[in-house]
Amino acid sequence: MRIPWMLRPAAACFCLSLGNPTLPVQAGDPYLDMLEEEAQVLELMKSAERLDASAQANVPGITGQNATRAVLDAGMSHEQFGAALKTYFVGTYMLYGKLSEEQRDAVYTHYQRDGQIMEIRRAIAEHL
Amino acid sequence: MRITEDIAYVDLITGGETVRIQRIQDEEHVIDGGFAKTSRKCPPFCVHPISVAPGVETVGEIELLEFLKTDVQNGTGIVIDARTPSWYQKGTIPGSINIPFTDFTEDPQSLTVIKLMERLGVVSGPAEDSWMDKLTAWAWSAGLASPDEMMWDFTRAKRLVLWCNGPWCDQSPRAIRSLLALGYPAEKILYYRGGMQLWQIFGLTVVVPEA
Repeated sequence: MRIPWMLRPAAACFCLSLGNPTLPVQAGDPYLDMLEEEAQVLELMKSAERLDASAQANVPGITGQNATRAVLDAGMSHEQFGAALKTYFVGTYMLYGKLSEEQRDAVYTHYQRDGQIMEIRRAIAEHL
Repeated sequence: MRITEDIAYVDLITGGETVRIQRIQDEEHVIDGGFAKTSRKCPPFCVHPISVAPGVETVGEIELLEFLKTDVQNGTGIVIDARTPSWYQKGTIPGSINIPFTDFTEDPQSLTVIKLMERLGVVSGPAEDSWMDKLTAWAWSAGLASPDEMMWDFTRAKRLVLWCNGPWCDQSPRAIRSLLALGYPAEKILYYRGGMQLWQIFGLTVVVPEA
């Protein structure tokens, strides 16, 4: 809406009383920070997936779509879980290796609830 | 795998090349990765209402494809990927240009906004299409009107479709609200609420921009 110039001061006061409809983005905007954090998590997941896929070209039984949608066997111990990642999902294992002991425990707990490799990658990426 | 009964694909000429928008032909294909997630933290990634702002129409995939075939191809419309570059670089809807929502919230008198508005067919200065605008133009040139506020001529403003990551994303709503605050005509703005989320759910073509 175009506001005649002579009415603008009054219009400005009225608009301010309604609240600014624009959401200014300031430095350190929490929304922007969370957006970029989410973008970073997805990028890490994608990198791990690409590395996993290239390594899985040589592993019998895990190829193509299976590499993306694989589900780890249930009931593995923490050590067995780490070994499975190292053997079958080397890219994901590289990220897993960067985590602290406490973070790895959290990822293991996540695996116990959901063994999909996609979700395990996300759990790892969110800790990085 | 057709898009509709009548539409198998849409061919677009963009950047001097033809891009075919179609659905992934594998019936077993499922989405994975980031856009497979159902429940992101809210806030900030909350579900948005159908309507983003009064006067701004919300559209779906078919309307967006029609817009790409007509308005974009004849130069009267622009499809804007309003996401930050880190999201845009992962892949975008063919025919889209990237204007991050953060650009729209800059100072209206900044070079960023002036150049952005020029891309959208908007020029600075009064339109002079009514007696009020002519009076404003005279007052402006005579130094009587406040020089603090940027004036825009929306006479040749393009029709826009803005989108972002999906119904949980606030990037394009923020861009739209900023455009409206700058005076952009609401009837020239369309909101593709589905965004990349729904675009991928339908298996439609995504292009990865050159780095």
